[in-house]
Amino acid sequence: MTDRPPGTNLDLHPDDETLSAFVDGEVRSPEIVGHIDACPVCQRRLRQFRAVASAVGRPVDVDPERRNATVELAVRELRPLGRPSRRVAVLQWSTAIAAAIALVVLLGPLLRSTGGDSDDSSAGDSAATGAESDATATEEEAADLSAGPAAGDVISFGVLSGPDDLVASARTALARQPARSTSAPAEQQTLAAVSCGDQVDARLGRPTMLLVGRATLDGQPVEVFVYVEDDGAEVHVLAVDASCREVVDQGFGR
Amino acid sequence: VTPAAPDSDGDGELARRAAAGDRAAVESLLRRHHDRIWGLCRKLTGNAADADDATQEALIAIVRGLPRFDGRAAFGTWAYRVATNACLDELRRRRRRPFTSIDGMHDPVRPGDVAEQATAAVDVDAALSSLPLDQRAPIVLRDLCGLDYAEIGEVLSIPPGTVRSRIARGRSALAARLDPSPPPVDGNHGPLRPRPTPSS
Repeated sequence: MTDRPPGTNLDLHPDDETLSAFVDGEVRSPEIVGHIDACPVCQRRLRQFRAVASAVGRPVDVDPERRNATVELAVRELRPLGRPSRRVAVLQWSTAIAAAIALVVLLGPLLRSTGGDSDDSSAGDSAATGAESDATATEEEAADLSAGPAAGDVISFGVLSGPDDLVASARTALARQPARSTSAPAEQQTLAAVSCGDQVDARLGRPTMLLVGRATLDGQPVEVFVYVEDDGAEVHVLAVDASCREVVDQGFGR
Repeated sequence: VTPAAPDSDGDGELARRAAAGDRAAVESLLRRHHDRIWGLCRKLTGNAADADDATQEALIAIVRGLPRFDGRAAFGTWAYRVATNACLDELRRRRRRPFTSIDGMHDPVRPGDVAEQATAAVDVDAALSSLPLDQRAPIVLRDLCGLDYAEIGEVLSIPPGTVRSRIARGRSALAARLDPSPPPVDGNHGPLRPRPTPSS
């Protein structure tokens, strides 16, 4: 037994609540500290509590892949400030393609107006875009789209190196779309194309997303999407790998 | 016991950037806290599958709630509150999965050195799962997440004094399950017994 500090009362033990709080550094009373220093019974109780606390506090092993997947999925919920989060409806392929046709018609002139590497030879009258609403593309319009990468077609971008290369290629290809006065129906603008499966595209959660092509980016196959930010300020090119993991998400101003 | 990452480690600045929509800051914050949140969920829900679900829900809720995070509490405290609520939701959904009771184990813990036994994570997890949630939660928040009593009170919306008593009751129960030998007796002392708490 240790020497007893003056005034230590070894006949009265601190209760478990006090000893437990002492373990946590929440008790600093000199009387209690003096008693514990001199009392083997309390010291044993403290050892028990400390052993329990140590065992409960032992870090758990986490699967790194699980951690990555969980974090990446959560980050995709990030939204521009001030904008409500919108769950993206998941479409079947056929419906997604139908939406894609209308969205490419919208995005074509939009992308061309950014001043990127556009090919004006196939450009139409962009001033008409949005001014005259026509919810359904006619067969003639659909035929005209074949002049560039056909709306709804999946473009093969080939072998690319780095996000900038991908974005430039996507902008170039999309800018070849002729301008149309056709507007997508409002409901279609909230839908996403489906490529990686329901669970992934629902997680991607972009407000307006369109599958536009495939590429080999830095040695791995990717699928390329475009979407417009909620506030309309930027168009984004997004690429996901074979595991449906996002590898590029790069925007450019309108 | 591993302390939580405090704001002095950069949480505060990261949280401010994250709340402003900085994607890299959001990801960095989530990665910093993921393992502790998963551990919290693992110990509160009692199994890995529920912990996975609760952790995912917690991280999504954190991202969605970031614009409302005002920085008055430490980011970790706020995040653990979100995670604890996600666990409670998960437990409500999964009541069909009963906790393993240590009393029903075929290979009960034998008396002996409590420190050695306490290092057996499986036994500890089983013992933890046998505790009422109102004791389990503050113990895990204290011992795994490193929160102090005031912070735990914030997370669980209970007074610090209640935190203190619940942790003590839970630890006493855990110690009894992990080391069921009789309390020590010496020439000067009787067995440990409750008595009025001295002022601290």
